[in-house]
Amino acid sequence: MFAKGASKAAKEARKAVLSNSLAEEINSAQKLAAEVANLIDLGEYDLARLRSNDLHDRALTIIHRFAADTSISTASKNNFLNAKSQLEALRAIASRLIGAAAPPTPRQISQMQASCTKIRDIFVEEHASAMRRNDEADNG
Amino acid sequence: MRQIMDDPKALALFQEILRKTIAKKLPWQPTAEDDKFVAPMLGKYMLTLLPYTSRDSWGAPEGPPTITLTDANNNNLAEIHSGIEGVSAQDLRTVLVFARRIAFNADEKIDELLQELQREDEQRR
Repeated sequence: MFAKGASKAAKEARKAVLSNSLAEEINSAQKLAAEVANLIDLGEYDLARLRSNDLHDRALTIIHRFAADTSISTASKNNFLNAKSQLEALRAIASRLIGAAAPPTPRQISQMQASCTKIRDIFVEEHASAMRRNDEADNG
Repeated sequence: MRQIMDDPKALALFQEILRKTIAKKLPWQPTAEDDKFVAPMLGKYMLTLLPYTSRDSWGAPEGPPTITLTDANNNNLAEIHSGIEGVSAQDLRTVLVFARRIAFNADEKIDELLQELQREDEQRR
């Protein structure tokens, strides 16, 4: 009986640690997303591409690490996949601009900015969801 | 001569994508790339719509739109193009037009413009 209780407590403790680490992962991704957006605004496409790579890796880690977690909704998982795809497109554009002789067109700039806003919104929204899940778990 | 491939699974997937896109039920979203749209599905798959089939040696896009289905590892699970029996270039272009409408909420904007134009007509009468 004690062993069963201990096992349950250990499982719950592990779940709490994982929940916290998801919120932390998303929080650091959120900060990186803000950095990428600033670099795009400043026209620093080579740095933006590098930071997009880092953020893409973070998004991929979140997707794989929490793929089997049933407490995370399909909508949230779709959001992370969307962020990953947005970053892939952003990287492709940034790479093309680094080697290009001409500066980006106003349309390209606005599309990149819109994509950065989308990526930031996703991480902000998902961070809030992760924190809410933690709060709900803490309150039983 | 263009090769036509028989791929019933890809055709069935395309027919659903076409139907749901026209019905505005697929969550297509814009990306930083011009006319490239993505739609995440079931938390593990991604539909990607490109406005071309391939790029020529100068990098210029050529051919009708294409759709790919990938998993979270970017493995290409299916590729839908006009070389598949039953998938026409016209239908692929229809998906692109309606995906654009969904991604940019164009229907609402077109309705707003229509209302304004019709209102102007009524005022003139």
